[in-house]
Amino acid sequence: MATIIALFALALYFIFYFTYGKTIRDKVLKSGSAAATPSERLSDGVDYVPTNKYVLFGHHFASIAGAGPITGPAMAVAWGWLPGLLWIWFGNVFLGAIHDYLALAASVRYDGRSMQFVAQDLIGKKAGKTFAWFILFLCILVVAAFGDIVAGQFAGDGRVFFAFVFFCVAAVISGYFMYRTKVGLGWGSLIGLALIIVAFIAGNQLPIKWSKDVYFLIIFVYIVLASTLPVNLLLQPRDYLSSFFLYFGLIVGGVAALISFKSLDAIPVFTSFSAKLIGPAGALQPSPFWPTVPLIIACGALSGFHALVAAGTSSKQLAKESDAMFVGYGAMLVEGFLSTLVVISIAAFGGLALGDKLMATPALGRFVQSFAKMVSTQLPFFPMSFMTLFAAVWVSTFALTTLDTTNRLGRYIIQEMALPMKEKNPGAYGFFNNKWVASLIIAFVGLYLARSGGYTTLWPAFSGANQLLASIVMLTVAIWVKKKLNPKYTMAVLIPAILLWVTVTSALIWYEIVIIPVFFRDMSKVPNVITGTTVGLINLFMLILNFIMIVSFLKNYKDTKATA
Amino acid sequence: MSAAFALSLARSGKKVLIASLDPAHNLGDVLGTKLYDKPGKVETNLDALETDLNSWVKRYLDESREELARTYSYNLTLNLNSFFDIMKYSPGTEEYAMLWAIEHIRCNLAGDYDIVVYDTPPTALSLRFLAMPAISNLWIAELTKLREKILSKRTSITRINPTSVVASSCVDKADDKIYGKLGSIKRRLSDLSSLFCKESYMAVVLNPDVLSVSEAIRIKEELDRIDIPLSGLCLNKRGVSTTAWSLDHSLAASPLFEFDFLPKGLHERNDLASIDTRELVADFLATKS
Amino acid sequence: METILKKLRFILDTILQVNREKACGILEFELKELENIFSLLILGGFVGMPSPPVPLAMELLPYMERELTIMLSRSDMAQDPLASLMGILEVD
Repeated sequence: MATIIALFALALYFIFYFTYGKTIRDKVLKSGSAAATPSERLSDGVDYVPTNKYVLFGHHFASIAGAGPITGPAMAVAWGWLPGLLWIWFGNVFLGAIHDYLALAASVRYDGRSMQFVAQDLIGKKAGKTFAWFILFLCILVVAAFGDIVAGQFAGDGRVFFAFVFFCVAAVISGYFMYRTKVGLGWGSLIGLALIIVAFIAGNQLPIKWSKDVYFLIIFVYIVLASTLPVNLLLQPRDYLSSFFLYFGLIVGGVAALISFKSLDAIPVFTSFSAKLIGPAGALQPSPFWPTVPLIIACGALSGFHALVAAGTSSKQLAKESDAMFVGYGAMLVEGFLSTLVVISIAAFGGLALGDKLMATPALGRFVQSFAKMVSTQLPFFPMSFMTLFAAVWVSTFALTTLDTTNRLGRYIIQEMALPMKEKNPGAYGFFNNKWVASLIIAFVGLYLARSGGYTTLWPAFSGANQLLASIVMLTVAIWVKKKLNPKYTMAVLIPAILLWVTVTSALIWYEIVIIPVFFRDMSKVPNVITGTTVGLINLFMLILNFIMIVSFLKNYKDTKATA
Repeated sequence: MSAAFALSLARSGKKVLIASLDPAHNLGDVLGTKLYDKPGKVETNLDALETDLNSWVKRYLDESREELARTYSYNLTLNLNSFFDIMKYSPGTEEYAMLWAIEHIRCNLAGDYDIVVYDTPPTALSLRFLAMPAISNLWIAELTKLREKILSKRTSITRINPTSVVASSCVDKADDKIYGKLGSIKRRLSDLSSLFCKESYMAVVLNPDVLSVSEAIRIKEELDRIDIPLSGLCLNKRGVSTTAWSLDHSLAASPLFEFDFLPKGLHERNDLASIDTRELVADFLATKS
Repeated sequence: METILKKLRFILDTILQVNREKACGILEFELKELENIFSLLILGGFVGMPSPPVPLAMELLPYMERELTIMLSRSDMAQDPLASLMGILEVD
């Protein structure tokens, strides 16, 4: 069964790639007769550099793949294994991959400008400002969500923390060899891989039992410090080595799933439409599949971040516009396949791994155990204890990378947004302009929320913000198709965009009226109240911005003249 | 003052070149000869010249423009050409032109003489160009460090990814033109710096009044800041007025040479000889050896 | 048989190239910024910033073609850096 599902997913993605994708490329974008890409026209040897589409694919895929496509689906199995898969499949091919593809193409046609610029041009100035605020909230919420997940991971399996620490050391050492000496990439990578194995062995031998709170503190210190280190010390080499985790995980996971023929019996096909998924720990609320599925499954199906990444570096390096199908549409489909593997591993092997405790285990633990079970039973060369450690370190590394890079990004955004304060309130401006203050704000607020809210509340908040961003992008792209491409195909993009917008907005409103009040049930629990207020306000603010933006959108949509 | 000093030295048998750096250029009037940008004979053992600052600035700009035309792609040159005309007026250029003029004298002309005397421009400009090497050196040092960092990063990236766009600009330190240029600028500046600090006799001329003394104090402070020793103070026009004044104690460290006010003024070269510079000359020759 | 080998060779080369780019991506980004700063420091005199003295800049200018290109590209990016930052910082 697992095999069939995996094959089905592959087939589905292939078919849609070659039919739907091609239709977009040939009929909507007409890439065959499109003008030369900015990488050719504006080639400057700096950013605008035409790149081979396979290399660009690898680059783009590595940028968009993180811990997201794993976390969401692992949580979504509470609805049963089929509903989540349906969203991962059809949400991806009709929304997610299209979103990535058209965002990339739009950016290419706009000379490699960012999505913010395109949205501003087509929807209006308000859309541009909305982006900045959304990204700031996303930075805080992602720290909250991933912070809790990683802390839970470390607390759950005592080996992971030291394995991760030694992995960082391995990265620093191999970075030294690769960048500072004449050792070169090949040998440097081998040194790195050897040190990773040492790190795993060391982590295995040194299990520790610290409380989650201790880990929160450690993560806090880590985020603030790591985001100030020079990039060649830790960020670059660790980034490089962790890509091997991704390749390894994807390959062994894919192979194991395809040869397993295991039936998906650990989890029912469908549990309930309103399974209890979202809410503060211990008080999970019934969460209707529609509209709340985008609050759970973000990156595997659709992610606003991807549009920003696509319009960032990828659009400036696309050699031919027709390559955008492979890079934009294709990369997202591969990510969808990764999410499919996550669901398969849990649904088929979760029972073997965790028995009755499957749904009681935190989402990531679920994935780690099931994935490890799947690989170790199908490919006995890899023992269970190694695979659990590997999977845990894999996800933790990606999550922690996101934590410190979001801190770097968030620092910049806070300073940018504090700029208007310079004249009116120079004291406050000076305060926010300090890079340590900005860094500490994000880390502290994020982790405070993590500690009191838990990922079951914060992941949906993060996901909601992410999906809202994606829906703005989809609406932007819909107007783009209408005004600049071919009005005949507007509906093909607009209808999914509107459906998405309605879904996400409803989901966030549901979140505001169902989940937030739970925090205030016991007013004596101060951390809960603070968390509820903070998240509630962030959510509310985003909804308001969202409505302002949709009004702008409707005005611009009716406007028959394209804006300058 | 400097003219009297130079004349005295020349008449005592030394081969002297006196160079006027003062844009006001009254050296020629004092010596009674018309002066040009090249050394011209005034009398036996004494040559004089007046630096033409404008021509130095122009020469400097022209050199750069030529290098640009040679090295840059031609479309860039077209865009930057008009830039240079504005450059003439930029604040930094006069000081630099002064420095290169001094360097020219030192490297190309000084060999023919025993002593070169410089008649410096008014305080403000003098202090600026004297400080130039010290100030610029720090900048050059930092820029050089940054350049080294850039070059080493280019190398490590190219080593790992030979097809990177950075590869074409990846060169050794020895081959990097910018690094080389920074090094040669540094050398020129440190030569000049050592000329000012170690190989010169810096004399400040002041008048017997409170304002002049304050100015002299300021000059001393500036010179201390850039490590140039004040070798001597020349009190000019002693007795020109009866107003009380006194020499500040901070100036006491340097030897003081006093010269009387000449009520008849200076009309011709030989009047300079009536200024008794024997003590000053003796002190100078003592420190020189 | 030959075409299969050729294809395999191509796949291997591509994978290796992706690998190489992954190993240097962030470093390249950082390098561009350093070069930009270097250019700004030198050419600052042209735009009224106090240092370095303009003549110094003039002497170095003839050799700074790549640096100027980067400076232009970065000044473009400074208007809208969020997208590039998100791409290079692996936020997702």
